[in-house]
Amino acid sequence: MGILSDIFGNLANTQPEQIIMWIIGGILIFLAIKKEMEPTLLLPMGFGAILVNLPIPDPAVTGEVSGVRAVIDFLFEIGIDSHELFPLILFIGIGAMIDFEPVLTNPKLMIFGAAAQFGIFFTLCLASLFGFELKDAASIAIIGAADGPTSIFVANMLNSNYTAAIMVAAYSYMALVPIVQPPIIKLCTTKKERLIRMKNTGKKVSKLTKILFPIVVTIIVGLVAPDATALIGFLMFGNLIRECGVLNSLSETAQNVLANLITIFLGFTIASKMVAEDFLRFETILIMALGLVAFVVDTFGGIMIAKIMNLFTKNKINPMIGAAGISAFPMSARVVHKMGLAEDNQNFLLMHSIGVNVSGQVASVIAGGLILTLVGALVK
Amino acid sequence: MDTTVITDVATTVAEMQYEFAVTPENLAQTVPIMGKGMIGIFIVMGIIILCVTLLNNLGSPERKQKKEAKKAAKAAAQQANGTNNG
Repeated sequence: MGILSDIFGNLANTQPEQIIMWIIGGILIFLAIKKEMEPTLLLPMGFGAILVNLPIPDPAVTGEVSGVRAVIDFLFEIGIDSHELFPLILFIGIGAMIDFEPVLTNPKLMIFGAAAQFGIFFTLCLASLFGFELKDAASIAIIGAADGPTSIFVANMLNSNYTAAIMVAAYSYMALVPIVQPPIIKLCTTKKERLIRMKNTGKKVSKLTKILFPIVVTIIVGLVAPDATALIGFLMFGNLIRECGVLNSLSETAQNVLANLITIFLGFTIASKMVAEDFLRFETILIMALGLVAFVVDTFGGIMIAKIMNLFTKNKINPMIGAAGISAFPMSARVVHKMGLAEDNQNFLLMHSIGVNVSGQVASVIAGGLILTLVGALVK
Repeated sequence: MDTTVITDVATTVAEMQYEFAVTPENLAQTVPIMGKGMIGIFIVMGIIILCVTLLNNLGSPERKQKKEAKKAAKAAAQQANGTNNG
């Protein structure tokens, strides 16, 4: 008996809350593998959630949190907490992946990217209505940016109490875009609108424009929303590497190796905040619900601005493309493209929806910067 | 897993309490942020649209063609002048 109690003594330290977290971790791993929902993030997060909720000897006895928790806490400290390093480096990879050509050929598509950020600000109001502190309401609202690194960056800069729940909600809904968006799009548009065909502009963009675009955007955003300078700067640096034409190997590394490496650590690191006592709160369920509202209202905002523009323009716009302004690159654009083909198998909306989608990426960073500027001033 | 653990887990879930109250007065603070934020995004995106349009015009192939045509015309005129003088 003595040997058994020595070996299995730690079993007695297991709390019911930890078992719930193992189940949640298991669900995340299941969704990642079986449903292929954002597996690159949900799998490390799920495994990390199990890992950080394994019973450990009482810290009061050992004097400090030891073992795996200490390592993951350290990763969080250096990778996210100190200077938001992981999300920013990941943005270099994302920037290198994005081809801005569709939006450069048709710049007015950027209006949809702006309109589709309405969900962020609507959710800010809703979350504060439900009694969340302003800094937490703003952090929850940024789930509507449909952009993981921006959500992490803003929630961490505002020192939110709900970082883990916000991360889980942001990445879960990004993965759920193909399920969340189609019903909203159908509800907000008529069949006639969904059948609208859009001409491709056929314009070519010069290399000079492609090179100057990331530089100009960085300067503009840096001047207007200084708190977003790091985010937009890293994103556009990645894009400049891609477009300059002389750093192809760096561009490939940023798109693949760098992005993958950071993603592995990011998911694992976020899990450090999924400790049962912090995560198992009613607020987590409320945050998940508010995140869904943010996505729905974003989609609604993008579609509505397209409808309004159709009142004044000769060349009609298929309002479905407005929904791609939600960011969530490139799932949202693909959803819209597929819905267009489902209505009319000769209606190819991909170029337009991708254009709106990359605009959403830029707009979501600007929205994050504006949230930090506007809310940051009030909570300091 | 024995039934005690399941009961403990169920009790934990049931004990999660909702501590929030609906607070409409908070809207007085957040609605102006919503207005400023949306206006801000449209302004910034508008500036970016203007810049992109400008960049497209500067680097457009038609503009290059026009420039080259102008150069060619100038060269032709100079040549013609040279022939007349000679």
